Amino acid sequence: MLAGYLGYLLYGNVLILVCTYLYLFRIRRLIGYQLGMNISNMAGGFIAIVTGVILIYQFPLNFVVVTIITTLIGVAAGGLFGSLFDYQTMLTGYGNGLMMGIMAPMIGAAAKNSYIFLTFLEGIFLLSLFLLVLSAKHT
Amino acid sequence: MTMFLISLLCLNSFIGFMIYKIFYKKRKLYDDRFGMIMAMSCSGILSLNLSMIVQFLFPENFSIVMIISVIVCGLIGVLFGSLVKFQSLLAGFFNGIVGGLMGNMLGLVIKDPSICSLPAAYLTNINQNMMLFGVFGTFLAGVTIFFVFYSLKV
Repeated sequence: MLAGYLGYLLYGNVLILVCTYLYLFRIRRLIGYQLGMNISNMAGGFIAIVTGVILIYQFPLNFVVVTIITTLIGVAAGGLFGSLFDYQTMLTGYGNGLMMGIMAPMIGAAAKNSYIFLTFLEGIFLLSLFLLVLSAKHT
Repeated sequence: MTMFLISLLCLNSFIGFMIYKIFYKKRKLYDDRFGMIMAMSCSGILSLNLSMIVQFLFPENFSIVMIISVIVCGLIGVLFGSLVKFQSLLAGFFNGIVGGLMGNMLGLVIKDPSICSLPAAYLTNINQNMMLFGVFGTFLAGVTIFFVFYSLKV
């Protein structure tokens, strides 16, 4: 019943992340490199985990393709958020998105289509983005 | 199949050795922040890739292979980190251990898909999956090393 709506969930996550990116793009001059490193780590890692779990729930027969796509999404998100600030923050976000993106489809396959787990991950993702915006506002 | 995996292993070791030699020549130039990030990204991706391929190469008694490969991956991280300072040594050691454990997990899941409760259709094309993941991991290692090498010029 819920499986038809997983695509909209993924779309909403990407939309929220793009809104956060645009917000950070306006105030990127005010953020130092220490906070920028943590921001790129968090954004790349969490979007990779949520995307991997949603995609492996939706397509359980294509483990290899899902892993490759999730890794590329994590790398791209971490690299984009890191390249707001510096070249070295880009490298940090890139590495962390890669690790999380390789791990995420395995977690999703081991969770066996449990929607409680997906709700928990969505809560963590929204909370992390909220904390990210809050910490960027108060520097 | 075995020859393909051995050649991938040699290619990865060659990439790691070359980038270590280049960094060893220029080790006086770094500040400690760049040293930390260099140790983190290089040791993470190299140890993930090497431990995954070693896990493919020895299908039996996986626990001994896991212990040895995690120790070797920690040593790789210490080698990359000891170029600069003790702070980067800690970061390199931690990321090497994490990458080694994750590569072992990925290799075990690809060899035996039933431990992650993946469908039984995977049992027919395990060899193809091994080759795909080996090539993809080597591609990722090449891209990462290229980014780190390019950051010397920025």
